[in-house]
Amino acid sequence: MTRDRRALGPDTRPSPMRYELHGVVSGPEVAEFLTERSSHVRPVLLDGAELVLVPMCPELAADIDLDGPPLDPADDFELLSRWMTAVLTAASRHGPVVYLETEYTGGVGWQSAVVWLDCHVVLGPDVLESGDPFPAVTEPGRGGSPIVRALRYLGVEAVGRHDEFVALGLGRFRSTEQWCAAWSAR
Amino acid sequence: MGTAEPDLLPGYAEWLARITATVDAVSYTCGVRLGDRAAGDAVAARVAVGLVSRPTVFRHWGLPYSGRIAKLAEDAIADVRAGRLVGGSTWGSFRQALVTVPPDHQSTLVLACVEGYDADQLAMTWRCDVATARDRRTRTLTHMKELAAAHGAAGDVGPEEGWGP
Repeated sequence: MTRDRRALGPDTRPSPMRYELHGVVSGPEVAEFLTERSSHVRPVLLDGAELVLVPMCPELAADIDLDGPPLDPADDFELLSRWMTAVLTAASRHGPVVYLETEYTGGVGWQSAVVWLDCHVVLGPDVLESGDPFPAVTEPGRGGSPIVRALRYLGVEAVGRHDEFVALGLGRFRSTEQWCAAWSAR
Repeated sequence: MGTAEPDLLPGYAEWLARITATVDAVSYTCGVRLGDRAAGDAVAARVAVGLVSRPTVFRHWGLPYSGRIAKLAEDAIADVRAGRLVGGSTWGSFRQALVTVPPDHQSTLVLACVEGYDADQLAMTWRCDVATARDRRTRTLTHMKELAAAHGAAGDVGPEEGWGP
């Protein structure tokens, strides 16, 4: 039976063993599309300095949610609302856009990712459930987890022993809340 | 009809595209943060000039490249908030200066600063002695620093990474 992650919602309990992130990764021209539609977009420059993360801060999630049943691919995610799905689809006219969610505690957890380009889903929704075998990178630029494969659509490459996720600096903070707090503290 | 840009060496054109992408991303994020897109543009221009003033940082992807950007951006943001960042170079004018860099310097910049070749590797590539390679690298770094200084880079930019004798 598939776990209802939407009903559970993100676990915000602090733990040094926990990693959680809900957000959008794209180029600035795509994120700009979101900025024009919500005053709660808090873009953060990622390593490599070409892409930005828009964390799903509570104000953003509340600001843009709409009532009604989720649309594909929203039902594979916790915080991807109908509104956000529609906006990201439209934003992808300006370039590839990744929406990702992940939560791990002590090495156990799940992750999901989807990529839009030119108003079409080009990857996913790709879900790695808790208990699924972790996909290995079979050769440089191939295979790997849903998020790693999604990031490649943005041109992100592994650097040495660091996979695409690490190379982009997505481990800088350990929760969406921390990404949002870092922006607010400036 | 716009002014045609001179032909750039492929590696240099790629480097210029990378710094342009960085400027776009910094301008957007800082513009949103400051609530002022023009200020974001000014911060991004300052960051670009600061990066070029220490070009060996381009051999990196994450730290110290992203750290250098963060330091330059935070300093520029502080200046914006204090009303000190006015009348500086624009990215457009600085980019225009970058496309006029002579091919010899373009080539050296890519090998020494993006690919990270040391003096021995440069000498092997250019089929010259190490002292000549080092001298050629020095001339290029000096050219880039002077170009950055002409667009407002701070005079004291610290030691160049991997730039020993």
